[in-house]
Amino acid sequence: MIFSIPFLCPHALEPADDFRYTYRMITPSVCAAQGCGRSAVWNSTFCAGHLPDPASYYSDLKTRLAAGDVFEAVHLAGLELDGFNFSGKEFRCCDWSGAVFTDCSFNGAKLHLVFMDRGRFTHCLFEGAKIKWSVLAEAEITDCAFVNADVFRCNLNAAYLFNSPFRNATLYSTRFIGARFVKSLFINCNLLRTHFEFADISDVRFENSNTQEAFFDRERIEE
Amino acid sequence: MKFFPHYVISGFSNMYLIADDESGEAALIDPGYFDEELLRLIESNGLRVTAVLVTHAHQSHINGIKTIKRIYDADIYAFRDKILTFPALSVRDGDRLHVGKLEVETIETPGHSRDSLCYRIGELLFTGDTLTAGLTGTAAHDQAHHLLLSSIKKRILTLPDATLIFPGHGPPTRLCIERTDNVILNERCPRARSSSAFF
Repeated sequence: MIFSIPFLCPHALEPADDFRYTYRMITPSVCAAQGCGRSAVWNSTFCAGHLPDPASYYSDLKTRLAAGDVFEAVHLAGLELDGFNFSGKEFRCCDWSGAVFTDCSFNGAKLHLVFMDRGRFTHCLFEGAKIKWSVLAEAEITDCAFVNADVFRCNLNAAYLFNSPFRNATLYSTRFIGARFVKSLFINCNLLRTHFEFADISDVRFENSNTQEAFFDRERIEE
Repeated sequence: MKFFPHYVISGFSNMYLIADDESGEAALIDPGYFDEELLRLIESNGLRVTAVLVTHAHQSHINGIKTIKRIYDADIYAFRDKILTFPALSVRDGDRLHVGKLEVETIETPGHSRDSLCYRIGELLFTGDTLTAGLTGTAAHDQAHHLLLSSIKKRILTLPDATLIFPGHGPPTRLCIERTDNVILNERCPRARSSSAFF
């Protein structure tokens, strides 16, 4: 079998040294509220719904995020983050499932192994972001922009994307299986090995993107 | 636990490095390739590879073993008792092995291939080609496909919703997502044909 060689994809040839050290996979602890069972958020023993002083927590969270550049196991599941600035920061092995991000900037951010399934992103910017090995399955992404973004080996299955264009983005080996797109654009994008099976692409415009190297149906042999 | 996912371009597959923080013992899961850069990563973190865990013996998941065995005296764990030309420790459903203090549970999930296994370490599940994000693995024929679905439903979908899934191909996922959105498990798609042998 002859495989196409992804010259356009820098990630496939990315040296392991790009990751300065191996990640420490720390799964969140359980909320201390009796019978809750949800994941506790960063720097707290409670989940987003049981924070004793939410205003204080969010204020403290902003301060802590502003103070650092690289964060590991920063679990924000279920939180509602308005106007937070994640630009240029690096996050590894984080659980952000169900979190709501509004007017947040992820410009130039690096997200590796960040689980954002069922998250909601509204008016967020991802210019120059590098998102790898991450999960945005079932996420709602509205009025966001992915310009010059690298979205590598990510799971956006069953996501809903409204008016959230991808321009000059690399989407190598990312999956949009069963996703729904409304007013969507892929312009000058690298779609090598990108999966769109069972996605509703009736309102998607592809321009100058290598759609012939993406997967739209299961008749081709799987990778 | 230290964890590092690595994309193997030659087979478009994933390999994973997991390591016990305390002892420095590490395991490689489905090493489709092994190169100097990975070696540097392992050594610079003070780790040593003591185990290779094979989910199934398709080429894109085992080709790196030859190189690994030249460097490390690692035990190979697999369904079969031989992988390439190397003897392997044959594991079966429910077996537990240790990488340092990390406990690894073996789950038999035949279907994509007769020798398919999943490995579970805490909340992490390494599924090989049995289950991937949004899809299942391919199957050689209808009976194998039914066996694959049965394996998934009986042995994987019974695990906790929060289980993080790291497949042999494609991005990671979470079990609760696959329960609701996997197009094959939810019968929105017929099976795809497989070029690989079942046996």
